Amino acid sequence: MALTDTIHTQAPPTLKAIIGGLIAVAAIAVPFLLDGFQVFQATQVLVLAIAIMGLNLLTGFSGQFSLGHGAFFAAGAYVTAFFLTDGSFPYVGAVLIGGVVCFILGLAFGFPALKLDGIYLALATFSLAVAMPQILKLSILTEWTGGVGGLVLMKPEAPQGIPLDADQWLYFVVLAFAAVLYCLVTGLISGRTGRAFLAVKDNPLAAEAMGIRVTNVKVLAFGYSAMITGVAGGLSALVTAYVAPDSFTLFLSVNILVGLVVGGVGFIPGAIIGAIFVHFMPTAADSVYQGLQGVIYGIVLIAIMLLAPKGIGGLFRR
Amino acid sequence: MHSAKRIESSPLLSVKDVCVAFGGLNALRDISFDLHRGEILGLIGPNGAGKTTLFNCLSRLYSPKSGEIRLLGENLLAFRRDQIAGRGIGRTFQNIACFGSMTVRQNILTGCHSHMRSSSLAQALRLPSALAEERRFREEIEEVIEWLDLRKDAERLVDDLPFGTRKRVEFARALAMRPKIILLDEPAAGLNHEEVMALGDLIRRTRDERGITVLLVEHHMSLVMSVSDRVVVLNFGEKIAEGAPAQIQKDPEVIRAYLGGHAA
Ligand SMILES: Nc1ncnc2c1ncn2[C@@H]1O[C@H](COP(=O)(O)OP(=O)(O)OP(=O)(O)O)[C@@H](O)[C@H]1O
Ligand SMILES: [Mg+2]
Repeated sequence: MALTDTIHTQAPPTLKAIIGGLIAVAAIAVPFLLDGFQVFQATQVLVLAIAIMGLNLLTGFSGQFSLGHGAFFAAGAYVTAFFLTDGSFPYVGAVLIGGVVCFILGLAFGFPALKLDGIYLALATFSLAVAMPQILKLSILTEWTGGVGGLVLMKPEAPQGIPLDADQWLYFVVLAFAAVLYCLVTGLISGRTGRAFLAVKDNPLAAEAMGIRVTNVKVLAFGYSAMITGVAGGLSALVTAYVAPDSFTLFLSVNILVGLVVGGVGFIPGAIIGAIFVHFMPTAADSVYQGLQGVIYGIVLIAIMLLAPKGIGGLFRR
Repeated sequence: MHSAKRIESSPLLSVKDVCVAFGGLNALRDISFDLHRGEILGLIGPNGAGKTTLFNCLSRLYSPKSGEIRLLGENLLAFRRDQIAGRGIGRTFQNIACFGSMTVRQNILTGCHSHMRSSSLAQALRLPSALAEERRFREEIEEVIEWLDLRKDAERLVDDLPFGTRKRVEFARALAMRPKIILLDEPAAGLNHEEVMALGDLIRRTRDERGITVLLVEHHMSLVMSVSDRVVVLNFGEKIAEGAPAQIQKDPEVIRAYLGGHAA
């Protein structure tokens, strides 16, 4: 099967509602059951899941590859951090501005990407990811980016009267973003635009004959995808209260892609599974046998591809 | 039998002196014919005659080197490919071109794309207007699903369906485009005898019950001759005959073209 094959879940609506309810309860309970550092980790997993969801919209639906989504993640993080260095700007607003900037960057990148297909597009986005840390270090941009040292921002605190510590509060902020974005993405893909994305992926000529303007649809998919991943970047800046060029290396882009494939390409809820894998697997591999963690990671990844060729999310398809 | 010939003075579609060349190969040379409202026009010719090329000109996939194509007087060549659906031309493809990763219902809904208006933002936000529009079109296509007997497969992925069913999905998708004209490129290819009979019936009913004008490319002679009001014959990119089926079947040049090594 191709990487861009889309997964359709065929669970009955009641089962879906029950599963959804259980996940919601579990997600709300998490920060009360875990200790501070674990809550911090859970928040990071959610951030990564949002980034993966952004890539999924691009690859799983419109059929375009990106090995460079870390660059949009970085852009979102830096824009957010830039607005929050003095602590007077509302942080939700800063994250949203980061998303809008990434939407524009995504459109801007989507246009040249129209000329490239499959593996060539993967390479072009790859170069974006390679270039990003260096761009962020450029001396002429230091005034905005903080250069090699990056930017430090204020970690948001829970509003007065809400008995949550900063980590718990941030968890809920990120959870709210994840939930809203999930609703927006599922709304988008279940309607006319979602079908246009899939049509362009499956058969661009037939799509045009149906009245779909393929170029616009591809560029729009890039814009929305970059926006979602950019919001994830902005949230990551809030969570770590710090952005630096070397947090956004090529490895981040690869992680987002691995998370997408493990969770299931074209399966939106798979993002959380992929994020958990990408976040915890290196440490888990390390605890199994130190010194061979890379080998173990690789073997597990290959095993998943063999046992669940449509990603772990694909197993939920009956 | 099919007395419903409602030929009017001004044609619905008029093709005039269309030439298409691929490098040195003249795929179409000075092709002219009219398609009248309510007509079923058969377009036949041996392999490589240029039938699909002509369809691709109507869909704007290919641009003629010279010539004119007018739909109700409007210059079709001035439009982009994606604007053709909105002008009222629906089509199927010689090699099935369904959207494989979608369900049958989603495929057919995609045919409604050019009639739907809600923006991507409205859909993401699930605005009532977008939801209402989606519901309206979902109801509309139920009739098409029923008409083509696709009810039991409606929620299945097209990739999982047999060839004959996929052809019906493509037909349904073209009908969902609410076309004035439907272009069918070898709809009978790969179908068994009963399926071909059912198809002939379907094509007639498409015209009679839905008022859609049909341009039919087909190698299956008995099908073309039984459903068409008129037939246009192409050979090596040239029009060699045009007329009623009975007349075409007796035309010596047509017989020669078909005996020239490319028996249908
Ligand atoms: N895109 C293209 N590039 C080059 N040559 C082409 C192209 N499309 C069609 N041709 C050539 O134009 C000629 C007409 O092809 P076309 O597909 O229109 O024939 P057809 O009448 O549909 O034949 P068939 O019955 O086999 O489908 C053929 O010689 C074909 O090889
Ligand atoms: Mg052909």
